Amino acid sequence: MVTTMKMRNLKYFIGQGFSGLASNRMMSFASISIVTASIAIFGIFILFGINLNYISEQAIDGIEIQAFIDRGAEQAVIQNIGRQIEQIDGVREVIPYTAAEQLIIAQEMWADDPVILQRFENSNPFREGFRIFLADPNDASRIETQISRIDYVFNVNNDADDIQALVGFAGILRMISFWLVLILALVSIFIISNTIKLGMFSRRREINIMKYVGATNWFIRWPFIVEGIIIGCVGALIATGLILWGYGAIVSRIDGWLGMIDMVSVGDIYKNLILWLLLLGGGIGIIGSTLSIRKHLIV
Amino acid sequence: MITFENVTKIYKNNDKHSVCALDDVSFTIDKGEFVFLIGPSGAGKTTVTKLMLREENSTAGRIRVNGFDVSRLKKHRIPYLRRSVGTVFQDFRLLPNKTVYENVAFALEVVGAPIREIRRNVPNVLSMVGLTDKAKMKPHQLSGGEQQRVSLARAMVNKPPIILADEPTGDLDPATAMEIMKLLEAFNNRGTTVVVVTHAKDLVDTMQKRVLEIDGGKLVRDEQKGAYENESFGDEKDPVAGSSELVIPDLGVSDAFNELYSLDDEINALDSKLNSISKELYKFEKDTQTYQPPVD
Repeated sequence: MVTTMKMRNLKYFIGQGFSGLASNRMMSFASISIVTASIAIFGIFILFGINLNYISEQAIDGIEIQAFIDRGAEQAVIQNIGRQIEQIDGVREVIPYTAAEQLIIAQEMWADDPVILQRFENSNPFREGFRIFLADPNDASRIETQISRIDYVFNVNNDADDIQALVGFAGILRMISFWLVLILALVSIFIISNTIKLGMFSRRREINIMKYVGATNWFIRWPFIVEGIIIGCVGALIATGLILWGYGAIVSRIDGWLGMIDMVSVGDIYKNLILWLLLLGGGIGIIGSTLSIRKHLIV
Repeated sequence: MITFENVTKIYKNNDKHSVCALDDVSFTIDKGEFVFLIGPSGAGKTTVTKLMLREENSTAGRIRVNGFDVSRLKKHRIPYLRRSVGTVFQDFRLLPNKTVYENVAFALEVVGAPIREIRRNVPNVLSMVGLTDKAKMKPHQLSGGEQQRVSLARAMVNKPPIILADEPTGDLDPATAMEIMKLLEAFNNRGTTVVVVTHAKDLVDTMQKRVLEIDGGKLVRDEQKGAYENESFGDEKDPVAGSSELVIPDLGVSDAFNELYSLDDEINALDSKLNSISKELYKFEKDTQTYQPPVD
């Protein structure tokens, strides 16, 4: 009996929530638009962040130092240098990077340019070397210095700085999106709370009668909270739809355009994105509505 | 049923200028009484009603209404106090976009009453106030007296032990006002305690009920079978004679009420019987799985 009554109340609250939305169409439309815009902007930042993280993680995994050796060094000397590098603290793996190997890569890279290819025909301009992989990318500059001190080492390349910059940029983006989300959420809450206030004002007669016939405070409040949740969730759903549609288009274009940038696919993120954005929308709706009813519903 | 013990209410204004609306007021209204609360404007009558419904809380003293210790009532219990007091106002307070039926049903809906109860009680109470044939009309299609009857039906639909009517006849002509009074009396005859706040001298004089008079925040008179004006100071005329011009329609409502209430009890009994039969039928259906609904 109790459960059937509660189900009936739930139906009543949801029905009242929707009728509240319908009776206040302009403000409801405005609130849903604001929530959609806020959540869409938030979603775009989230997608940026996810991809930047993904790319920088991949980059960190592949971070390497390349060391090249003076011309004319004997094979035994080269092998000795390899062993010395292996013993440096923080080095995970050392792979020989022979001049012949580098020549092949260069020939492939300039396969369309006969002028350059011609220069490779008679002599190999490359040096013998090593590719060094690290356990922790933060050690890159220390290891680089240590390798450069070894005899016969000609020069050392390190792409860790670029990767550090990428990681730093991801951090900045996270900060920006955090503040942006906070501001947008506050604006959305304010707008929703105003919409609910208007709704309460237009139904003040009804609320007054409800109080006199002994409706509990929660019974009076729920329809307005439901209204807020509907606004938040509808806004979130529209925003998620727009984002996923736009993102899918971008991913397919970039994949065809630049093979080298590997983006997170829509299939990997859509479930989490919908869930989180819906929670955010619903949360904004609940806070917006409770804020207005707390002040305006003294029973 | 209703007790005020040394109740004082002081309204504090922002400019530190306090107004004493009620000053050490005590009275008791027993179950089944019909009481007029009278007094000039600003005397403190409305404050009494507000304190009874806990719209305001008393500054000092103790108030009991229908078993609720009103002055110490926790906020979340206030709705339950109000469910036990049916309220009627001068301005009817009907919802313009709802029909008569919906307005009355609203009072049950918002306290979470089962649909079965709503479907049974609303038509009953509408027939008690004589509005069965206007159930589908909107308030603006009704006269003032009819609107007040709807409001009375709404107050009575969940069968509260007390009715509190604040100037229920203020906007009505004398004949219609008397109709409303007769309805209140009919409810009173069925055991409902009735408190009527009023200015209507004729009604008070005609009805010959207990009168509580408040003036300047003090209870100045408590008289059984009283008139609007204190007779020891006025002339000695018969209070009924004073309202001789008033046409009192004889609605015969009391008898109709008794009949309706006994019918209501019968319906309740039949209803629970029907309920148990339908349960058995359902069980039977499940057991046999051969039942086919009749085709028209």
